Amino acid sequence: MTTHESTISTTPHTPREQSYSKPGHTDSDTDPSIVLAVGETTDSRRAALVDAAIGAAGLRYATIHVVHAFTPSSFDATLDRLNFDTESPPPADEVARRCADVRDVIGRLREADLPYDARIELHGCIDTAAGPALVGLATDVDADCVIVGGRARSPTGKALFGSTAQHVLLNADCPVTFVKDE
Amino acid sequence: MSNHSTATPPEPSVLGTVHTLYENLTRPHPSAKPRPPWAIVDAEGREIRYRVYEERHYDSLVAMYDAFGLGDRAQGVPPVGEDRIRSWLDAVLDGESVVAHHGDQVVGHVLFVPDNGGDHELAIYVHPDYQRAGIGRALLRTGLGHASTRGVDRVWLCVEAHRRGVEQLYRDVGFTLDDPIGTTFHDAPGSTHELSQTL
Repeated sequence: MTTHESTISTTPHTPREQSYSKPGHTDSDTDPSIVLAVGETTDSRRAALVDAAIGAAGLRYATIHVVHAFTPSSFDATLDRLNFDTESPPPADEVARRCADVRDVIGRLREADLPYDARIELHGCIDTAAGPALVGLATDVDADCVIVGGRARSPTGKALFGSTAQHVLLNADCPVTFVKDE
Repeated sequence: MSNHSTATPPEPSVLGTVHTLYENLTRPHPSAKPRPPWAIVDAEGREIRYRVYEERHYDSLVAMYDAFGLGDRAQGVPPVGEDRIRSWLDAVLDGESVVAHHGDQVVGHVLFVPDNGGDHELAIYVHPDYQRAGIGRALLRTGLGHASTRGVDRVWLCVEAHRRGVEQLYRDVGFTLDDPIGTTFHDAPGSTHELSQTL
């Protein structure tokens, strides 16, 4: 797994919201940290994922960590699709930034009325299983909340979380919000 | 036979021993996968016929699912109400299916629904009035026997972690546990075990 490199700062929206900020505020361990998992299984529910993230972000100094978890094969497929050089691939964070699902989520977050000083950080992970990658990232960023989507129905129609979501729900050390796919 | 103690169990009769031996020898091995059509006599003495699903079985199949009570459902299926049952069946009957009949009535259904990865998810249902008679066990084996002749390769399913008896039923026909999720919370409420086998 790679750690984050890219930071997208959101612009302050209204002066009124600015007034909530402490002068000279610097990053603190107590600031809310939210992990928002964006994956190929969740594209139908991006708006709901973003809503959940904004709800969890609260008022002050939240950082929303947008994560795209690749498998080695999906990473290669994405490199190929985006015309990257597969011999010397760019960092996973950079590839994640170019993915349509991540771009869509970032766009929605920027359009949303995020609290002043909310920050968005982008992460790309490469792991054979997305669940452990997301739990690892949640630990690394000391997440207060993980938001994960997933299929809600198996092919036979059984109500399931999906293996990624189930892994996160059962193993993350913080509260997890599950956003079900339609 | 002993005269000294009334607690001594009666010796098994020769006939009884022979009968048990015969039963054990003629019973198909739990992992055997017979192909339909064939028939068994269930534990209640009913003749149950196993057939590949055909469209003419549809109405009786809907009626079977309509007979399920709320407590007979697992993970939200079969759905409640005839309309929902029909639309659910329309979505899942694309794959391979085998049905169990008692007379003209469908009393069991095993289905293999293709997933996006080229594998198949298995689901199996037995009419509430026909459960615990060995119908489902034979249906499961028959379904796997049929599916193996129709290009179904890897079969998987999810069972709620607390349903140990059900899980054992699947293990008996060759399923093994995939990717045990975590260890500490392995059997947490709501968690499922994924089992699979390659035919």
